[in-house]
Amino acid sequence: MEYTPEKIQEKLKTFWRVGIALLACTVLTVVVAWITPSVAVGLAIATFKVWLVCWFFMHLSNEKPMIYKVMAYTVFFAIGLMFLTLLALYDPVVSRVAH
Amino acid sequence: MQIPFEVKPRPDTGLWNAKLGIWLFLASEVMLFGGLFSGYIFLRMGAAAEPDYFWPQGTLSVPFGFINTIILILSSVFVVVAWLQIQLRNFRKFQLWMGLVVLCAVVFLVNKGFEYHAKFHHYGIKLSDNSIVEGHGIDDTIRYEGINEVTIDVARFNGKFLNAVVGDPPEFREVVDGKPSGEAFALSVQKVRSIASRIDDAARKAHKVSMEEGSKDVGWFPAMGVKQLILAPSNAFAISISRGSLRKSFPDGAKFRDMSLLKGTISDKTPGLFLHAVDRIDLRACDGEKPEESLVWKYLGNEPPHASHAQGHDKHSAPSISGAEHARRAEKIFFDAAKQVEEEAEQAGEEPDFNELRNISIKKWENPEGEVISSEPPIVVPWKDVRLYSNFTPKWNTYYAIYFTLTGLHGLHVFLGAAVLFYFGFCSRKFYEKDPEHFANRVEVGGLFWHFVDLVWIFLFPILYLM
Repeated sequence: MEYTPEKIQEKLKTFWRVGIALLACTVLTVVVAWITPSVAVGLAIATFKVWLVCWFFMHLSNEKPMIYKVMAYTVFFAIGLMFLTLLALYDPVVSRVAH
Repeated sequence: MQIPFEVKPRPDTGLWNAKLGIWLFLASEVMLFGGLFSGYIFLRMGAAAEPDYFWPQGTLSVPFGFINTIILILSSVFVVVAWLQIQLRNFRKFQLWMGLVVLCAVVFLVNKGFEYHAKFHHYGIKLSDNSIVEGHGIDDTIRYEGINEVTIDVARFNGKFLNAVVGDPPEFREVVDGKPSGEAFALSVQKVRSIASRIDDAARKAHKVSMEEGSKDVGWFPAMGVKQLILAPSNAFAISISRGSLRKSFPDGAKFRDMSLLKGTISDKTPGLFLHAVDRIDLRACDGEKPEESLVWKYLGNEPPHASHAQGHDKHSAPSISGAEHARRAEKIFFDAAKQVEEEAEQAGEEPDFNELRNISIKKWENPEGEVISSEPPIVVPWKDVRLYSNFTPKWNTYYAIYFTLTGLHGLHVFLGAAVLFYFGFCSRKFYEKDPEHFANRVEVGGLFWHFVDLVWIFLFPILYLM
């Protein structure tokens, strides 16, 4: 990829703006947690921050299809991992969902 | 040999080698941390379903975590700015930004070190009625007196208990048929071995004789040899040791890790586990109905009967106030707070909810009149009522287990990432001059890893510090 000085200046601006947005989101996370201990809101803000970092800093806004494929599989299986806990709710001895 | 697609992208995928490599590596890293996050969810949901275990919340300093989050976000910006400087072929500026990234990493790790240090020096005791008390400055010295019999496991004996003997170690004699017999000797691992082989030899001979008589047809196995030796000291002795280094402690004896069992009585000088500067009481899982009937309240304010216990904890103590006075203040904090809950509930016409009160910091409290009362009372918990005690490490609860696993692994990533970026910034000038485009690719790959480290922390901060 060719980087002209103008393009680089433009990128530089974007990166600083994203950085400021990330800092603002961090403050927001703390304020929200102080107002209400909502797990969902906290995680939603964190997910948005992760998206910002991936999209801009890790250049996923303009990446090759192969990288997207790798990441699609990864995200799919990583989200799958989060639901493994559900297996612990199932009791194989009496074959029912424990309460 | 020239490796293809190291600098120029492969035409069909549009990727150079390292780029594909780092993304595959990051994919594996996502799965690694994903498994641990899944473990976190499991433990937390499990805690919610458990009636006597409460997920600790608010135990970490939010300002500390907040500052570390800011530091990592800034370092993420710095690393992309450094990469852009390489694109501009400005090595000096690149070094400057990279230096800032490494500095951020160092500050992050130092902060983490302070946080870990605080946890390692904060203790909790779980009492036999499931009430919990937390504080600073623990002393778990236990002294046994009048020890007149020692049983040792021949195979495991390591002689460590001799180091705990108060004064000179006594001489011992073997106990045969309930009576001390033979010569007195100084106890050592070699001596135990020689006694064991002597007894084994005699037993083997007796076995052989009985075999020849034809009464038995079982051969000799080493497992048929002597396993335990009972020894009697020439005079009763005392030991003084940290309770944590014992395998088990009984009212009438102590078992060491090598299974040596010493029979004696717990000294009045060390009646229990001493915790100085109690700062939190957690009665949520307590068996008793009323908080004031819990064992914590029963023992609060007790001071150890001998002075050596309190040594080294001076910074926590207010010399003008006795332990009993401290306990009285702590009680006032607790019961005033309870009264406030009752009054507020009465005003609102609701049933009073004491749940928050059952997990209360008694360090400081401001009553509605604006009066501030502070207290950090001492406590001596009799050994029989100590169910578990530990500093805030994985032993204490599953929260700290997952906290140290997640943050420890993340800290390792910060350290290694910073080491790689330091190498690019300050040890790679020749590489840059030889092939700047190739070098820029390397920096991009290092930067991608650094962003990943930032991503993990973005999730860790809310789930560990805020929720």
